[in-house]
Amino acid sequence: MPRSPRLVNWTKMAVATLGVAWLMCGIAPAKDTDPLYLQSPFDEITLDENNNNAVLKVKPLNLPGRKVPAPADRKGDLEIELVEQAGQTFAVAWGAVVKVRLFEELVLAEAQQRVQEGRFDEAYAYFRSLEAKTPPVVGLKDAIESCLYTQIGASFTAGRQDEAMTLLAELSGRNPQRTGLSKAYERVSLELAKSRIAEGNFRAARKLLSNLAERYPETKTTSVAEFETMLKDKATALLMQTKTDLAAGKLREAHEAAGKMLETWPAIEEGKQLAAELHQKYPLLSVGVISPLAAAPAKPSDDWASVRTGRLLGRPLAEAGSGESDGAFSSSFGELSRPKGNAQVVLKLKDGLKWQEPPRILRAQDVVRTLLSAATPKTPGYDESFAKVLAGVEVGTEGEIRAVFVHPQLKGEAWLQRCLPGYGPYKLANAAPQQVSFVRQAAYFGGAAGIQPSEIIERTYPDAAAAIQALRRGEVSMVDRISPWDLRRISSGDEFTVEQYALPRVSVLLPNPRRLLLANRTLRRAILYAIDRESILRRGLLTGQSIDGCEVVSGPLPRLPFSDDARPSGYDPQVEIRPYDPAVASVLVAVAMQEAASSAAVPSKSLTLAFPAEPIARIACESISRQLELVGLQITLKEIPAGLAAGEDYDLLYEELVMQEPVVDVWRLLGPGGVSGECSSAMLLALRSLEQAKDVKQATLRLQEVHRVAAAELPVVPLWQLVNHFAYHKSVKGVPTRPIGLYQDIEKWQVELRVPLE
Amino acid sequence: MTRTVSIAILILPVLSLRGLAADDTAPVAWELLPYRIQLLVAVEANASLPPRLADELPVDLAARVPAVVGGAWRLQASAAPVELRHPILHSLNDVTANELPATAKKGDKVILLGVAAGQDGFLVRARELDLVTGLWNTTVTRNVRQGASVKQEALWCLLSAFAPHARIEKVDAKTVTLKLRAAALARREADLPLIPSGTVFRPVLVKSDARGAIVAGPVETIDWTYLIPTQSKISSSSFTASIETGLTGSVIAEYHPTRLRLALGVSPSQDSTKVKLLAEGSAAPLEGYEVAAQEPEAAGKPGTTTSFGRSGADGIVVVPPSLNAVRTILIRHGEEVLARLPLVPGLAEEITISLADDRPRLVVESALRRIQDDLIDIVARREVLVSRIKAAGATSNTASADKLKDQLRKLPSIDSFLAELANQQQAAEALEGSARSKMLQKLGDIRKLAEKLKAENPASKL
Repeated sequence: MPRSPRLVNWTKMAVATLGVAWLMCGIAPAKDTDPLYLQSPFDEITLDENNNNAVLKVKPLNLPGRKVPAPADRKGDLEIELVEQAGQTFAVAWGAVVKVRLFEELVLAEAQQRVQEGRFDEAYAYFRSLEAKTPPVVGLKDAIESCLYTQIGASFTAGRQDEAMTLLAELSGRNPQRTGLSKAYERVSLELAKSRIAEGNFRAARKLLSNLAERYPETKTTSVAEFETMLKDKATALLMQTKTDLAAGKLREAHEAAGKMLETWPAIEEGKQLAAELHQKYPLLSVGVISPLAAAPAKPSDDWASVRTGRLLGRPLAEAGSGESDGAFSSSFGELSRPKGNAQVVLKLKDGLKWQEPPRILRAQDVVRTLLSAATPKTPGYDESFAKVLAGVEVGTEGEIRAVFVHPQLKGEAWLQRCLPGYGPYKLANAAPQQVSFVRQAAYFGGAAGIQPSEIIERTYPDAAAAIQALRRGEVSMVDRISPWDLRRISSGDEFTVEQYALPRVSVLLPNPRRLLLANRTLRRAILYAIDRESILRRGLLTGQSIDGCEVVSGPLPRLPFSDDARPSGYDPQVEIRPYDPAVASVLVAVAMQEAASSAAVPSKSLTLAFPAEPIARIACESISRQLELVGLQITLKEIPAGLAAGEDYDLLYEELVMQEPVVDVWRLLGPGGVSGECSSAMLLALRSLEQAKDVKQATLRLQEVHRVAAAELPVVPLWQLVNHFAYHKSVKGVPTRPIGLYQDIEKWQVELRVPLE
Repeated sequence: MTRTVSIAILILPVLSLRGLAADDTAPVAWELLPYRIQLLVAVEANASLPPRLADELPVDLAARVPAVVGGAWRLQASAAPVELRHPILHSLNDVTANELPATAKKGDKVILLGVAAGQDGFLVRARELDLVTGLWNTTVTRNVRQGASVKQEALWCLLSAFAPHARIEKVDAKTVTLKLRAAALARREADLPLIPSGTVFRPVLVKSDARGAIVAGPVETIDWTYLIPTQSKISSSSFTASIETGLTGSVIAEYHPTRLRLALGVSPSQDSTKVKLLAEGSAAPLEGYEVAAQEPEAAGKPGTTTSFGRSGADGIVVVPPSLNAVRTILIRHGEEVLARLPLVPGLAEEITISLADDRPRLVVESALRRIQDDLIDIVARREVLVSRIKAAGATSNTASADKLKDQLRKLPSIDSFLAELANQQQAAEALEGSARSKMLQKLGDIRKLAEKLKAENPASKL
């Protein structure tokens, strides 16, 4: 901006005659509470005694290269613009200026102050802003290195060795020659290795030691050697333990000792041969799970652990094929047929099937007993929906088993997805919260001896991240469920395969049918409007990722990403997904309360939301709880321990539905005696109409009507559907693509010896 | 015993009536006419009971009854014949009049009483056959823990199983005046109520001669109708009762000189009744119909509704007993109450109710409810958006206001609802009877709401 000579003169006079007082009145103390680096830049000028040592806050000075000239070069006037009088420039005689502090110096000083105070995170924000400046700020590099070094010391002292190691890597990257770096690196590495060993993570400990030796070779023979000797000794002891257990026939114990041995020191002499010999005798598979099995499931259930392990403990009489488009049923017990239309399903048993211990021939009566038991109240496997469709079970003249239905069933085989008790490839050997083990059944007919694992151990982890870590370090060879937000932690590659399950699970809130308030459909609609399902799904669960098949749904039926002629989904995409609208929800809550009051019930806004103890349900329900409270409902969260039933003390229950065969599963969910409780007259009408469908095309249309009734009446509050993934090490062979459950085709699995990487 | 009835007045030919006082040439005054009752007792042989109870109990009861009822009963008690013992003890509800010995059927009533071993002691059960009308009363039951109490409880059962006669003297719109038989006969304790607590009456029309004496002939029962005493304790021969009926119009016939309008007592029972719902015409079981009871008013508040569940594939719902003998049951399908009927649980083991096929109406109702819900949501969403737009305008937040206005414009069109209502109009018009008029009425109400919403321009509120 061109300068006005009159103004310059006037300013000079002002500075000379009126003194600094006048100028000072224009300088207001900094009132900004923002960190300095975020404020508008300014420089600071200190005047001489004649000007009462005034400190002026001025707009950044126009200095060549943003460098304050040497005293000898300070001649003439310094042009300034006071921050508080923007737009007016003044000239100050260089002679009156005793000190100039540029904005960069001020920011740096404040950053160093933060470092001294131990407020490292704040200091880095200052440093980052300075690093973005050109030309480079003088003293910044040293300041950052000092900061890092100081923080490394602080982290080390506080026992945060992981953090210290990360900072060391950063410092080393900035200045590998920095004094004291090698000593610090050694100390932190050794301390970290010590804690990794204590955690049992020998692979990480070995990696730390090898990194240290590589970076600072002088440690090879000193500190690193000391640790390596310790590890070798430990591995040798485990080798001896393995041999002892093997000799004593304690194969599982020997397996565990051998695994630890190789994990501790893979290169131990004889180690690999011994482990291979043992593995040949007793292949063992460890699986990391989040939801452990508490007890063997008595009947079909949506519980994750029951669905997973059900296939180990019992082979269903009828099974649907895996993959995206193969929904046809078959039976490993014999031949399935539907000779009289859809009124009955016939199973002709193969000859010579054996079961139980000691083994005996499986007879048709054994199967009949199982099916009748499932239809008999007060038996452990009683399934009310099954009881309502089954007219009877009989043994035909040729020994075939006939399940006769009250009404024709388009997918009658799906009702036969029931297991004979104890008739599975594995039996439950031990169930504890931290570890559940299954051992192979000698009498089981379905698998070739010596192929599938002799034992499967399911180890429980608090979340998928911990399970993935265990997978990486070799503690387990599979993880049964990867939370969507943890999918980024692992991907298919040379070492691991990440696979998707065939069908999405539909997350819903099940209203307790015995709670009067939840019988009000207006309230259920209010609850739906109150939940920001899109946000919980996209941000809370998928953490911004886009995964095909994961989406908000308008009803309890899954929306399949592919067209499937064998297995109709019945999802009606024309049904509007009700939007998130808490204001509308509040209005509907008030309407529902009025309706409840008029029906002589005592309206209460307190609801208990129960959910299974696993991370996805926990995150979802915490969010749902907050959102329901925003519309005036008081929510009490209740976590149901793994393996336990929800009981009666809840109003809403978070559940993930497996709609494997919707034509049948809608009865279990929505039909009379189904999970959702009372079946309305309209729903029953829709279900009966579905039952009369002659083919898949008709069934699809009628399922869509079921979907529309469910979306209108909300017997369950639909949330979203999630596509789930599992991961496994390449040493596990024969795992099918897109299985329905983890252990599908377990009979074809083969587990190779997994030797930890050096 | 299974009874099949439809909602109509049925004429049942029953036993040949012998008349209330067949041996009298002139009728005795109604209030002075005692009951002639035959009591047949069966006692199960049980080590816990006194060894001679089977012999002693009839004698004991015959001796104790006059102390309670005075001269109103002329009771003859005896042990049940051998062939009746097992049915009395184990299937009392299934005993028929034909199984009773002819000698027992000479008076006004036969009461069967059995004492059998129960889960926690003994089970005393009694049931009465009224010989005048040929109708069985409910079975009354008493669980007895101690053998020593059996005689006392047997007396209670005997008194409770008794179904008194009353004559319908006067019929008003919703009440009747009744005159109790034998009420004027001397009683030892004048304070005792004339009829057991909880007893209700069912109206029965029997033939009489010109002098009022009952003559043999068929009786007319009036189904789904009970007379409930308006006072809890009846202490005079004349009393009033309210008419609870599932029928429309005048349910009790006018006075006629050769017809006695009798009211026969019904005792509260601990037994349930299976209500079987069938489709008119096809007799196919009706599934998914809810059966509930409308409980009586309590402390001035309307009674609650107790649901007994929905009928299964067999069309059956079990109605349990309550403290009151009569329960008013509601049969609902969807939101519609299709029938409202009084019923005494335990009076029949199973009753059948035939109803018209309601499925076409339900389809329309379900569709209308969906439209109604969606309209309510639209109203709420519209009002909320208008409020938000106003709030945004007040703070000069034009960007936010524009965004909200866009959301307002994008709300589902009311025209689509009106089109759907037009579709449902056709379906509703195809219905018949009251279902048609009710659905058309409902549809009209919803259309009015939709048209009002359409006429209201939400933008005009801004």
